[in-house]
Amino acid sequence: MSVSDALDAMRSEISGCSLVAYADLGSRLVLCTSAVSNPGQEQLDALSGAALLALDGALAEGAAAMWDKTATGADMAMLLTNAEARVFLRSPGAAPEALICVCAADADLDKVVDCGQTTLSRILSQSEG
Amino acid sequence: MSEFARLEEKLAKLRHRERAPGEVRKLRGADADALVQALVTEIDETILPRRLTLTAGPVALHLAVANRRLQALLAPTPDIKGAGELADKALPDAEDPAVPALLQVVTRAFSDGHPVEVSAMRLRAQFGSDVGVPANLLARAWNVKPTAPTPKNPGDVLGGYLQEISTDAIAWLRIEGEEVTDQNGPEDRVAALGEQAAVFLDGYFAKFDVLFPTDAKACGTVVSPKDGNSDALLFVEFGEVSAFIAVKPALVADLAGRWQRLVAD
Repeated sequence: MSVSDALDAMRSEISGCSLVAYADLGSRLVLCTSAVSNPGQEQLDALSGAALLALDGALAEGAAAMWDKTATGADMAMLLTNAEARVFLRSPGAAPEALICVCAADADLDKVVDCGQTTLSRILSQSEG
Repeated sequence: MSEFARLEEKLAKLRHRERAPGEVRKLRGADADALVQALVTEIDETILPRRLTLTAGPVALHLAVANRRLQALLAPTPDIKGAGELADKALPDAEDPAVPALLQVVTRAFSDGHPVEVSAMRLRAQFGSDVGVPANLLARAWNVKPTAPTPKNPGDVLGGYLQEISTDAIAWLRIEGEEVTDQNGPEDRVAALGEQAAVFLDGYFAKFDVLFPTDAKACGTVVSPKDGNSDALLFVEFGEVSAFIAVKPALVADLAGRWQRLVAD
């Protein structure tokens, strides 16, 4: 399954999901997307910027104040508004990559995280294969 | 001194910085009646003591509002007939003659066709929280037709939520305005959460515009650690109330989803 297919599969599985993207946190570049409507570059830049802040930047550093000293960065983050939910999941691979999911504000966030982890595993196995 | 002094000091500092510039918003309404209606909605959404300033061209009205009540017209008053007599006098109830008199002042202020802007500044409690006319009674007294359902009371929503998750959460701090008003969990974990929240807020407010670049209201933020030994942090907010919640990473998505279903549009 290609990265694109994995993102499409995740988006179709989550009700109200408008966009799933795979991003490189190091370069802040979105590598691949699956979206209801073609996202603008500005939107993708904003998402990758937020992913970096949430998983490796200001938010993660703030939360890490009380974490175990071995913890480096966050594994998962969410930015929730009354209009949408944005979920960021770090890839378990060595590369600093992450999955970004934009869905309805009242989406089943447990399911989003589960599907996201499955999608990341698929992407990782594809890149290793 | 409060055991959460550092967190409360941070909240006060950040809120002050947050409110200082650029808080002016447009009050939406095609004519004076619609603007009065929008003002009543604004009052209905104001929990903590605030000085609401309404500017319509050269006219500025200052209102004391708290606890979803209109408390008084504040000085300085505009050059509108009847305004001077109402200044700084608390509205005792909806039947008081000052209530229709104030409507006349407001309507005149809104009648010149200027766009109306509203801003809210913290108001040192000048009147008791039970003083003033509640927004629903004000709407009736001013003959304002309700157009939207009464907004949920943020304090009640948060209180219900914290009660509901108390067995799942490790610890939580409830915050109203700039004060920690309630807490739950083991003493050491609650204290650690207070420290964590103070550090977290620095980054959160510093990068708020990047994290939440649209006009949609921020409701919640989750940060979950990589290692399994640490707790995830869930920060929920609704109007002037918010809470920091420490929770096991495996449960945080569920708790965040339950909050979203309560507050999302």
